Amino acid sequence: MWPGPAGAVMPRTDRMRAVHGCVCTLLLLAFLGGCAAADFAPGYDPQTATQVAATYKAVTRFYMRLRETAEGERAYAGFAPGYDEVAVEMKTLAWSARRQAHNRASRDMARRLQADWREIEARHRKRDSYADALADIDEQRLDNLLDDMASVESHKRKLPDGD
Amino acid sequence: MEMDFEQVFRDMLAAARDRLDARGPQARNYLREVMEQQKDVLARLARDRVSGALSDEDLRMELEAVRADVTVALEGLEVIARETAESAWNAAVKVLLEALTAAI
Repeated sequence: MWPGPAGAVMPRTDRMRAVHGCVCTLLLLAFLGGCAAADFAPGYDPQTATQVAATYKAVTRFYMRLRETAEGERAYAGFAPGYDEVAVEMKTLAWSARRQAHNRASRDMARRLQADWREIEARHRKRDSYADALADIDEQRLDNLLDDMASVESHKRKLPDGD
Repeated sequence: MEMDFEQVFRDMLAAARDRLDARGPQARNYLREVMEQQKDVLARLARDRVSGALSDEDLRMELEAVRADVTVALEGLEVIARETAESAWNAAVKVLLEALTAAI
């Protein structure tokens, strides 16, 4: 027998039943909360965010090297390894974006970056030259896409209260 | 304890609306950011074509690339919309669960 709140005595089995009822209610509420909470937006992925920065760095490095070479001396062969370096970073970025659920936007942006890069490389190989004017525009377009990816990643960050 | 579901539902809507109001400008800001970026690229393309630094073929290829870039960049709006909708829904559900906890 257990003493009740007003000195009344509650049988042990009744008290245990009451505690059991409370625990079940709490578990039910927690379960309902878990089921009802929506999860239809992609979560923030630090690996993708880091890889966006790594790709940005590789693209910047490539165009710095390009500008260090006189416009008339930019034969494709001298830049082929640079194209590969950037392509590796972009492929890693695409892989990272693919791993996440509900992540179509980042995945498509990463694919577009790869397609852009292939087109730029194909044109350089075909012409065996790369003019400053085109380089400036291409770099800016790639930067823009990477900026957009970084911006989208930052929007995926959940606030601490689950906001 | 009785639960006034109509009142709870009004509170749920208010909580969801607060989240929508708070996050609504994010989509607008993102769109403006994308448009500003493209404005710079298009201005450069126009200037370089006029000066002769770019050929007609260069211009055509770059414009096609810009169109493809903008198409995927705007998909970012979907992420922001999903985040906003998720946040609004979760805020509403939180109100419901608090009301249920108090009522049980």
